Amino acid sequence: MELRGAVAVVTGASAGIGRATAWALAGAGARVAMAARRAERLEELRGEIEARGGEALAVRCDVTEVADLEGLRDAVMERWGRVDALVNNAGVPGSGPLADASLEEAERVIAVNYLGVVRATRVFLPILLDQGSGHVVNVASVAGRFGLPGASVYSSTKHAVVGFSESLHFEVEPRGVRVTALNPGFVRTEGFPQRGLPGIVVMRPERVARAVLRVLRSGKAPEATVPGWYKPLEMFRLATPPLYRWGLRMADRVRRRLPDEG
Amino acid sequence: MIDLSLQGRTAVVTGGSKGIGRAVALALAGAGADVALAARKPEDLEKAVAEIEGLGRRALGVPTDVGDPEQIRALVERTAAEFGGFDILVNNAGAAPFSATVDTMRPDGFEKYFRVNFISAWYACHFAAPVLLPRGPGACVLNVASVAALMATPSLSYYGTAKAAMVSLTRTLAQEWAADGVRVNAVAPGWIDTDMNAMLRASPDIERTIVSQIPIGRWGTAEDVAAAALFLCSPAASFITGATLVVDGGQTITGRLVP
Repeated sequence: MELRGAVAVVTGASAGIGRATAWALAGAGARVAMAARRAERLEELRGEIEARGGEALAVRCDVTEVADLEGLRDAVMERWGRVDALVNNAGVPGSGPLADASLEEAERVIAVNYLGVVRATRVFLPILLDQGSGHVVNVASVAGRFGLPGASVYSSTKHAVVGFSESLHFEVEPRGVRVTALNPGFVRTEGFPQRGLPGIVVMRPERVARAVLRVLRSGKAPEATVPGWYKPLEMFRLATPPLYRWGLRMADRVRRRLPDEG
Repeated sequence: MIDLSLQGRTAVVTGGSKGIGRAVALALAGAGADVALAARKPEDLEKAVAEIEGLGRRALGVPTDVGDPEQIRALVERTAAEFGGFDILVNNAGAAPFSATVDTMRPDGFEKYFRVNFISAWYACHFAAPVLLPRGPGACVLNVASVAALMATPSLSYYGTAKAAMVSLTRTLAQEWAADGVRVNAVAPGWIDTDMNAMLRASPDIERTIVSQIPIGRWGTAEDVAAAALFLCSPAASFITGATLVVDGGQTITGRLVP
């Protein structure tokens, strides 16, 4: 799609990948509705975007609350009357090794990372279908393609988002709407500090924001990966299952030596 | 239809008040772009700003010493704020104020002018990335290198190495940014009649030797370079990235650079 003048909604826009994506979309000339729980942060970002001649809307929104999402939808429709892109980015880190986490913590991760995507998509989808156009980009993770020892709940929410995106894409594609799961590798943000990982595998959130723009511009669906070199790793799982299992065991050994996981 | 129009675009040109930079800025403005100019001297900037405004375009003069990364950052931020982002970055600022062989050159002189001729361009690309990359197709960088990048440059090691680095940066960045649709190209001017070369032209002997080495038989003009720059920044060049376009009247094909 042409981003200049397009209306984009970004959840989890107060920091990290969401913030970088909102900023990049505004830089591309899109009108950006930013949603997050921390409204004061969004206001700051809105001010910066408007100071550069961009158009932005800041809406306090918890993606686990359907009423908040409906409020977000109504605010966007009232202001601009359409939605071209929905970037479901809001997410929280995993609750850690399953035996060490309470079920409550685990369910919270599922509520934000998975149900948040389903809810936001369900709230906005009728608009996109009515328009006969639009693109939903779900920021998943390479943990949505590989098991991540020490992050079983997080990894399963991202697997769910990948499956949700692929299924929904082929469900709505005939009606002009696209759905993409964008799977980033390790990204250093406030919520995901990625301490202890070698620098070479850690990206800045701006790199993922660039990938979101590329996906929107090209219409790539139902899946994209950043950086691209994770893609061949997926083949490796099919080609040599024993080696893949050995890789996951090694990943778990590495994790045990790290101060935290992401 | 071949499209050389830059209507609705905005550009930043470093070293934009005189010589090649000024000619490039005027060419971009002539094609419809609004232009921010960076240079050290406010009085030179004012003149160039007035010329661009004379073409009916918006112009912004930002006094900048490209030797200082913080001033490059401020240039990018100020232009982005005033113009609402920008689409074209022209890294033109450069200088070749002295000559000395490697064994006799003062190291701080080498470092200072390597910085002005090359590192400044790296910083400009680095700071402009968050503005240019979201713009995607239509956005581009133009680096003003030199034929000195392609030939030996006795007594001008700081200039030749910096310009060679500029050509390398052009290729590398072209590859890094291609997926986002942002193109990166360079021009490599030969002997161009600007203030930077006025001293050489003042000596009839050197003047004669130089012209004798240019197959086309004359000095280049800043407008010769600006025409190539305009083409590379225009939609007509949308399939060209990582290229270095030589604008030298055929001099590099003779294999001689210095009189």
